[in-house]
Amino acid sequence: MEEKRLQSIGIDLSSDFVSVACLEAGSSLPVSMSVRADDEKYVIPLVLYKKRNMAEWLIGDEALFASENEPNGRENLAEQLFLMYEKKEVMYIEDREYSGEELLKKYILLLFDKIAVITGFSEAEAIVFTAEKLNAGLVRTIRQIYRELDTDSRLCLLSHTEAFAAYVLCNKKELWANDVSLFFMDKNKFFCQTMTVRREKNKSTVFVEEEDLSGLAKYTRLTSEKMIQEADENFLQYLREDYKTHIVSSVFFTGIGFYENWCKKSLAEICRKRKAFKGLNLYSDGAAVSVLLEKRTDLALYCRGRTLVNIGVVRIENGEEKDYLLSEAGVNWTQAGKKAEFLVDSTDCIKLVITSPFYSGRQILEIGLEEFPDRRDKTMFLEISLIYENEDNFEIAVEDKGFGDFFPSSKKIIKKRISL
Amino acid sequence: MGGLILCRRKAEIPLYIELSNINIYSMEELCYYLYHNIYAINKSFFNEELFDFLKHMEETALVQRLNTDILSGKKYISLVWTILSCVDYYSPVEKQTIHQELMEIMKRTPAENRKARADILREKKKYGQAIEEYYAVIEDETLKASEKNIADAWNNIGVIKAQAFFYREAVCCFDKAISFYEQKEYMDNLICALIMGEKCQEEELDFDVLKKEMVSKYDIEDMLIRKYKRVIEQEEREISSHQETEDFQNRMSGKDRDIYQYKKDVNEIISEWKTQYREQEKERQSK
Repeated sequence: MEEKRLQSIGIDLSSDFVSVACLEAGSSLPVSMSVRADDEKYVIPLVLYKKRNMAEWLIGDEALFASENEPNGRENLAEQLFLMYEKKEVMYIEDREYSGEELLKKYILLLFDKIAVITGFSEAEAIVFTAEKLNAGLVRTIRQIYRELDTDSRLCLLSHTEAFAAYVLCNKKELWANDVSLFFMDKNKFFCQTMTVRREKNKSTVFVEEEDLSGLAKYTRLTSEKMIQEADENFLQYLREDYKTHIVSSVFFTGIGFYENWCKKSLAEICRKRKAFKGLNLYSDGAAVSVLLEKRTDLALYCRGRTLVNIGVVRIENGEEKDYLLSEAGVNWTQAGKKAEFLVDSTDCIKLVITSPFYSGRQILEIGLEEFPDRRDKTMFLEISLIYENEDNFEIAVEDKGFGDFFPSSKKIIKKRISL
Repeated sequence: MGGLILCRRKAEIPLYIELSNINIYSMEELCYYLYHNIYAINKSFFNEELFDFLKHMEETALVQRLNTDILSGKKYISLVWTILSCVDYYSPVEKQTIHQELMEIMKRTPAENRKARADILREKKKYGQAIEEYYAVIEDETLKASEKNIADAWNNIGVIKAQAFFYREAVCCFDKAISFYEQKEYMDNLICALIMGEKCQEEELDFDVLKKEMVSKYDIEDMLIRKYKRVIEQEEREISSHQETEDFQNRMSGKDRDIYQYKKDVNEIISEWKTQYREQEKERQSK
């Protein structure tokens, strides 16, 4: 196999399928991985199959094919892996119990084998996972998988919204000259995300806001021509009202709800003076190109999956109070937070400062140090660390680190969980 | 103004200070050590290890300043100030106070500084090194020690000897202290050493001769000795009721204790005694 190092591999872990995109070195155009050589099929069903009485496992279409063609094949087929994982369900295959987490891990590890075979890559600078619900549990599982891969690639984790924004922002500027809309529909939801760019002299600020549209149409109810027409009409009305309030340059459709064309009238309205794109590989493409966005210091992105506030700790420098930032707004929450050591000087509390880039004012939270030994005379090092549990909650840990060999640490740690 | 001060980096390889048997991992700790051990420091502190540590801490400007100070023949107290002033550990107000203290130290005679260093060593139970420093104060004429400095040095050597149960030697030291400078404290120490030496009775015959000689030399009355005996007995009673004494007795007692822990405790105590004894023996042999 030819030695090939990619810039990135983007992997979209959607609830029913996975899609993969690669970004070759020096390129800014993602290439979606097609699982069929003669066709553009970018989605790999999120199913796993164990060959009967063998140690071999299959994923995606191969798994489905094998399960349909082997006697009692369905018994060895694990479907809806994401749901199993989220609900912490288990499944018995050939009398052995498998947890949802175990099956999802197995699936992703096999996926990497598949990527290697199809793309012929050996390594990538970055592996970027994107998922709709990037919670602490999923982040932990992906990090475990990453360790098992034993690769020197960098691991990045993105929300779907970040992947969408990355895809747009790494595309031609004409696509995001004005607002950009994304419509997503699957079995469970229908929503619109609107990306707005506020252009300033040195830095542009990008916001993505979400609106629930499940009241207009539901994928599971698009069963008759009448229902389809009604849904299309509702959608059209919404669009007409919406377009009165802002200008939209481009529109993206994704999710299995748009696999079939149920919104012909709406689409005609959308395509008037706007560019429209449809595909199930939007998020994986966005994940792959997101590495290019990391280098862009002229763009600040605020959206789901990113931190919304600056969190700092008040420190003294040259006799003046100054903020030391522990976490900045507009950073992917899985990468937000850090730790730093401070000396305690004549104070019984530490002051956390929360500020927003969009509103003036400072919220101060005090954390008392009463649990620690009474040494406030610059003979106590405190390690303050901030870790996000998800985009809305973070934990502050304050640890007494002692003062070298002079005063040992009491090993005490004060932890506070704070919801934003 | 109180608050938190952001720390500088911490060293992976610490600076080991043999004098105090301590590791220093940061510039903040170095400043703390320098200020709190100013009398224990001499020019030998500014050695290759310190410079390696400073380089490791990426304190390039400080290293250059210290080198310049050394080449221009500045005293070690000035070098201490160079470090303290370059690091934001002490506040500007604290630095002012420290600077004044350092200036006071600079005004002291070399003998006073040497004695102060010896006192620190004694406090840190580095008895062998402390005695060496006290002898330097007594014998090194270049230090130009006053009679009071010499008397203090003899007295403090006597205290160390008495702590090690060498009461005969202790008495001789207090006697020498009095011969240089008459002070009640020296006489108190001498009488106590006589009483304690008598109580120990290891060198009964010789010690009795020494006691008679001292009693006669300083005209010490029986009533005074009895008074001191009562004070010592009272002290002993108080010491025996101290938590520290109880802890020590518990450590030395094997009763109702885990045998492994008991052996560990006893070994630790013996090891501590051995270290102290060896240090003193080394010093005795060198004299």
